[in-house]
Parts: sequence; C-alpha cells; structure tokens
Amino acid sequence: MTKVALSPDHEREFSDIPYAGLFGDTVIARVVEEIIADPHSSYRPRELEELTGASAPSVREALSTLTRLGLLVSSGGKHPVYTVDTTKKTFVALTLLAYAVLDDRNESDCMHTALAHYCETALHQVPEGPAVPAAMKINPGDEFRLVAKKEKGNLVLVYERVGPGKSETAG
Amino acid sequence: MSSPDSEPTLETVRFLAWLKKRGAACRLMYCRKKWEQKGIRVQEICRGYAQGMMHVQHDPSTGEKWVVLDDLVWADNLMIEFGEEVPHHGQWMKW
Repeated sequence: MTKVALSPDHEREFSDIPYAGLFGDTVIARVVEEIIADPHSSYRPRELEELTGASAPSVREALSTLTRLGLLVSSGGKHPVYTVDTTKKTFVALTLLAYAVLDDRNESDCMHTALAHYCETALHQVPEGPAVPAAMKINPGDEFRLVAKKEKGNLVLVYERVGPGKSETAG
Repeated sequence: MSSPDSEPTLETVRFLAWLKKRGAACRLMYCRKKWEQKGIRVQEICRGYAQGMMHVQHDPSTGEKWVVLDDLVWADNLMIEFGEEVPHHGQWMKW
C-alpha cells in the first residue's frame, strides 16, 4: 500500500504514509488521516476499507477505538455510519497537526494561518478554569479576547481585556 | 458537479482542504475514488480555475498519476473564505 517514489520532474517525493510516518503506517493512522482531512462526510466501514486498502476487521477495530475516544460518533445500529465530532479538541489538534507536518516538509506557514484563524473564530470567549492565567484578576462582567501576535518570529497567544477596567494582557 | 471554469464551490474547497491535510499530494486514482461521487472532477479543476495552483503529475517510477497542490496560500485563502481551515462547531454558533 505504501509507496514512496522520487519524481525527476520536480524532485518531489510522493508518499501516502499518514502524517509523514509520525505514527507509523497503521490502519488507525490511515483512518484518522482520512476523517480529519474530510470531517464533513459520513463514513461506512466498507468505504474506509476501499479507501485505506485495509481489511474489514482492522477497519472495524480502528473505528471502534476512535468511537470510544469520542472522535467519531456512530449511528445506524447494525449497519453503522460514522461521523466526526468536530467539537472535540482532539479533532482540532489533529487538523493542526496535518498542517504542521506539511509545513515542516514544505517550509510553509499553513499551521500558523489556521491557528490564527481558529483563534479569531473559535476562541473569542473567555475560557473557563485553568486556561485563564491565575495572575489575572477577573471580575464579573469582564470581557476578553484572545489575540495571536508575532513576536521575534514566534506566534504568541495573549488574552486582552476588552471589557470594563483598564487594559491588561497575559500570555 | 464541479464547474471547472467558474469560481470554486464549497465542495471543491472541501476537496482542496482534504488534499492539503493529506500532505498536498495524493494519487489521482484515490482522489477520483473519493471525490468523483461528490461531483468533483479533479483533472478538469486542474485545467480550469486551479491552473497554476494545482496540477496532475506523472510519477515515472511507479507509473501513477498524482494530484499536487502547489499554491498553499491560494488554498489557505479559499479555505478561510469558506470556513474550512479548521471546521469547528463555533463557526455556526452565535455567541
């Protein structure tokens, strides 16, 4: 199933090993790569067998594990159909990992682009609990926003107080 | 169905996102197996609006054709526009 070839056209190495081999070339890694890459589809075991080239029992086992971990949700009883739970932080992290693997190979900036956009669209509420630095005093009615900044080439996330009270930041 | 000469649709952007998250290169055969049933004609897209940004490349050592996404920034911009960079629940929730 796995093939690595060197193309003389662009000297580009083609590989279909999931996440560049970070987790080996296992069935579960192939299933994870597929569902993370396309989280909108519903998946049937047979379809994943065809796509991954893996056997029915190994795909069933992978699906069972991913359902137990909460990344997939199963419905349909005897003939299950699986959908991705995109509310899971694991899903977000694995999506970013897919970009990170690509960036490390291509020296591109896809992960930072995605992360900055994610912060803008998903993390603009005050997180609860330990995600808020203990040093920051929070009063009822305070409002915050999470801002991604570039400092000395690194992406830094800081909470900025935008509600009542004077401006305050914490990394 | 994908329309190669017009603007990208949500489905074609989802295809680009899929390709990018699989390392920006995938066997043409695999792309077809998954995406033709959704109306995506990969080679037509490569010849259409994605010309110069994505191409089909022959690998002489294996005899296989690969679809290669060349312009990651172009894909990033489309994915952000369509909310496909990191699809998540918060995108369709009103806070």
